[in-house]
Amino acid sequence: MMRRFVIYLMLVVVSAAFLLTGCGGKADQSAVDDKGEKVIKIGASLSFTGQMSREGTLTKQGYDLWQKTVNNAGGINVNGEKYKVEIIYKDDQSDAQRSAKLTEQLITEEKVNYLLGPYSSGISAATAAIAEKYNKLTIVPLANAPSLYENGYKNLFGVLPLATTYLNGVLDIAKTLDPNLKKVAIISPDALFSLSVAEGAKQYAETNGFEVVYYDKYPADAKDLSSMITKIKGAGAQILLGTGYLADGVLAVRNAKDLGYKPAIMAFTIATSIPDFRKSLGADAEGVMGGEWWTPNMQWQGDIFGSAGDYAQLFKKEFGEEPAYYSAAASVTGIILQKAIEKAGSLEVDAVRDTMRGLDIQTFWGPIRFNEKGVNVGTSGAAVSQIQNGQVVVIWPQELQQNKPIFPKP
Amino acid sequence: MDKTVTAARKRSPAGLIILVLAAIILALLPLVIQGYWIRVITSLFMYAAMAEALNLVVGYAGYAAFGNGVFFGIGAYMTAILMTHYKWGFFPASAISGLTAMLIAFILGWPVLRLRGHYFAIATIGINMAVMEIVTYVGITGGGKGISLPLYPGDIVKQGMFFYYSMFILMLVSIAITAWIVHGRLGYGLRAIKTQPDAAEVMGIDTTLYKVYAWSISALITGIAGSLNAYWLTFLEPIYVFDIMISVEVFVMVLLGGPGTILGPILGAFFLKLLSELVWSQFTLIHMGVLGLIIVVISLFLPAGLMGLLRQAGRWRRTAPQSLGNR
Amino acid sequence: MDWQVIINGLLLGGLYGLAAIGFSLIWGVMNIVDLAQGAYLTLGAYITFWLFNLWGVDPFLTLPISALVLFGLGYLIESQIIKRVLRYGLVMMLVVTYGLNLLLQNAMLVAWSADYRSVTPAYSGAGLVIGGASIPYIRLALFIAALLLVGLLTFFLSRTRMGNAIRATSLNRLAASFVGVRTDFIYALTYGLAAATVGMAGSLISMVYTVSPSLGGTFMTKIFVVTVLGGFGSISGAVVGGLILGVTEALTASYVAPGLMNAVSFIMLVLILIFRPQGLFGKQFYGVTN
Repeated sequence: MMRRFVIYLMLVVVSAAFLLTGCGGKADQSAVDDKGEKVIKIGASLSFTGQMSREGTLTKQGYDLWQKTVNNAGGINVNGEKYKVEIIYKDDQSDAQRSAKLTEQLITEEKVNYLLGPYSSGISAATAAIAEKYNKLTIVPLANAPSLYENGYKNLFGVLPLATTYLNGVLDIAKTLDPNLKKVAIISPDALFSLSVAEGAKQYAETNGFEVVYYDKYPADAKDLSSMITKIKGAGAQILLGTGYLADGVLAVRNAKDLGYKPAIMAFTIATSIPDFRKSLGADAEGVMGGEWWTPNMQWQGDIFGSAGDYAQLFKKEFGEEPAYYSAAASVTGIILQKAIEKAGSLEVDAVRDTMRGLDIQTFWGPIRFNEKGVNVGTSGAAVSQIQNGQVVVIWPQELQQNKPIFPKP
Repeated sequence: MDKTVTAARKRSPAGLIILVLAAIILALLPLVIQGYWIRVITSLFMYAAMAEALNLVVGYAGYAAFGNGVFFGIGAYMTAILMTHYKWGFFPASAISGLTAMLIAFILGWPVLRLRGHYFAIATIGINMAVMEIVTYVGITGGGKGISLPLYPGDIVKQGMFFYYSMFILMLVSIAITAWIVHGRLGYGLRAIKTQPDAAEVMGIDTTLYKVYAWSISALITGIAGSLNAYWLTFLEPIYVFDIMISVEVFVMVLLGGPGTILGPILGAFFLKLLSELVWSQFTLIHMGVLGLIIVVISLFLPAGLMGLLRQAGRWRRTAPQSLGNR
Repeated sequence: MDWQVIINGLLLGGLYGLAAIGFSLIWGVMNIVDLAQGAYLTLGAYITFWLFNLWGVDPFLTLPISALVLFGLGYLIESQIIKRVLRYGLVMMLVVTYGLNLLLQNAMLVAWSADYRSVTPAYSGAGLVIGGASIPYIRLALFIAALLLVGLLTFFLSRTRMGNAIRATSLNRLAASFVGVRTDFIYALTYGLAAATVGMAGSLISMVYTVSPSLGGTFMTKIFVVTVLGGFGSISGAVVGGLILGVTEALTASYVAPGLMNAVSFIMLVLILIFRPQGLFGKQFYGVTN
């Protein structure tokens, strides 16, 4: 009996060894594709399944649109030579461990030099550490928890302003709507991004003369917020800020309705920007506000996609729906890489990174300029939008206002 | 009757040579592979070590520790806290992490291991979830925001080698410990507890003590695996390291390979992980479903695992597969 | 305001109780810890969602449909899979039911995506106010529906021939088979019944929570706690356990910290297992009605 087992084990080990050696060594980073064109390979590990699949898909649309636009224009210009862009996608299943593995696969098997970021801050933290070791560039479109940029990684760049400022606009507009709005309640699920937003909002509220009457976190998978809403109602909060993901916002609105709690302003981080929110709440979503890092009616202008409006049109033609800021951020991530490579006139990581440090460009997303930590400081703060008659309407800042805000929330 | 004993006794010198050969091949493998594949094999070792550790409790003592992943998380977080807040080096931090996991198992073991069957299984799941919630809530762990560990000093090749060989050694140690236990007094005691718990008690075996020993050793190995994994990944979030799926996957490896055999869990871990890496990585959307299907298929057709299959090849139908665990 | 907290807890607890009955029943009768219950709950919720969404069927009227579909599925799974694995003992049972759970959950993910859905009938949100505490109609209705279902099930188990057969089997399978009970059939029936119950719980839950493939996973952990609190196999125990858990969570969230809501329930679970494994009221290793 033992003998048969041993033979089996030997077979397994030997075949595994063969398999592994066979899988080594693939094409070079600036390979030539079958049409004889030069290609720059870019890696992207995104969440197509799992918890964050929705956001992951939106991000991919943004990358795809940039890739298509660049390649239609001939490719990226490196010292007069045109390189086509090829983005290699991997699905990290919303799991950091898996994303780390895939990032290493992209670097060592696919030989990519540049990585476009995964969706969330948590996952980015895991992949950035690996890219740093391999000295590969990572540009993340949608990860903006402050702690991510405190590790001193030199190869990590982020497009969004830090999460802490996300809901500041809501407080700004509240001041203009009614000076008697003073009492704020902030609730946050216990997760990296959400807590960052909540802490930022609390600080901003306190320094701007608001009174934070309720501030607490709850387990990320909570299915019922009745108890918190009951306390908030008891504390008489006029403004409710929620910093969770989609399901959290839906839950808070429903629980508030059940308990007869009617704040004058209700705002969530992820609410207006994803259509599912309106779809699942219907009429109850009326008047809910949300932060938007980017909206199609912004006045920014760049040379690749034209204005923000032009980008929105192109996006709509391609995918049949209005772009959410997720997709826009993803597209601008591509532009940043493209501009840095073209300006550096080289595909060397070190040269491109050093160019990125000093980059100062205009895009449809807004100006792009990185500080020493790798955070984009070209734009700051988020716009505020509101759901009015089932449509998302920008109501803040004043110069972007599409419609008067509905106040108080019905 | 007890096949594990006879199998262990009958180990031929030729078999031993092959095993050593396999170990040598694995030890030399980093000369020919790199990067991603180093990472894959490293995680194979990690899962194999954890499967072997779980095997002590599930395979030998017959206790369904369904939430054993809790020690993985405890080891990971202990290392993270010691390295970031107290600036410890990795090795002392890792040792303390393993010992902490062991100590927690030892203390919890006394009351929890008196529970039988389902009660024990549910208690371990409860412990896993409770610890996760507490780690998420308290401040020192970074809570739901996660915690970043310092990067391994030295370049990526050195880093890859370090974790490859650390996990490799951990796996070898887990095999050695299991072999040692199985052939010692503890092993006989555990098997007695599994097959005839009441008789074992009457015969003067301190059943709870034996079980607590087994669980503590299991926790030690799992804790060190968690500690290494934390330093390797450099970023921890409670929902990742306390994910019940880690426990479940390891559990399946033990069952797939053959519970209550020394090399079964190792085989199970290699088989499942390689399969997952090579085949299912193409079909990520149904990854979980395929795992579920494999589980159901094993349960239906392969209840004694791969080792059982190998041993019973030829006379499959004649003997009833041995019962797993006490009801 | 204190009343509001207690009421929140009780209304939530009723759902917990109903969700836990199937699990408790299977454990009591078949001695199986069924980890697939979460998936059945999710499936029930989706059935209600689709019927409501596609044809505008009132969510409460979908209950019998949920029950029927889930009963069929449960019966099939027991007679085709569970039955064959039963003899390999509890470790295998844990794993095979978890495998089924993964399989079903993944199938729902592929079929209906991870999007969050909700069932929002016209009467959602309305409620009555008693002494400063508001009670939403829909939650009250859910609570009453849950209690009615419990009553029905208790009646079935204690007053009908088939119910007696189930109870006899739970006491001693061998003895039951000697007196002419077809225990194979009884096992499949019990499993189907349990799936139907948790499916109906899912249908009710869909009216207040967002539905996604992971819905059942969150409730599964609550189901453990409730069952252990109430003592396995006891239907009234499950209901009382559910109410206790609901109120404990509400009180923790209000007076300790919302972040510790789950931690408290899991700690409770472990402590009760250690100090009183038969549950707060249950008799250990004993039949269905308390």
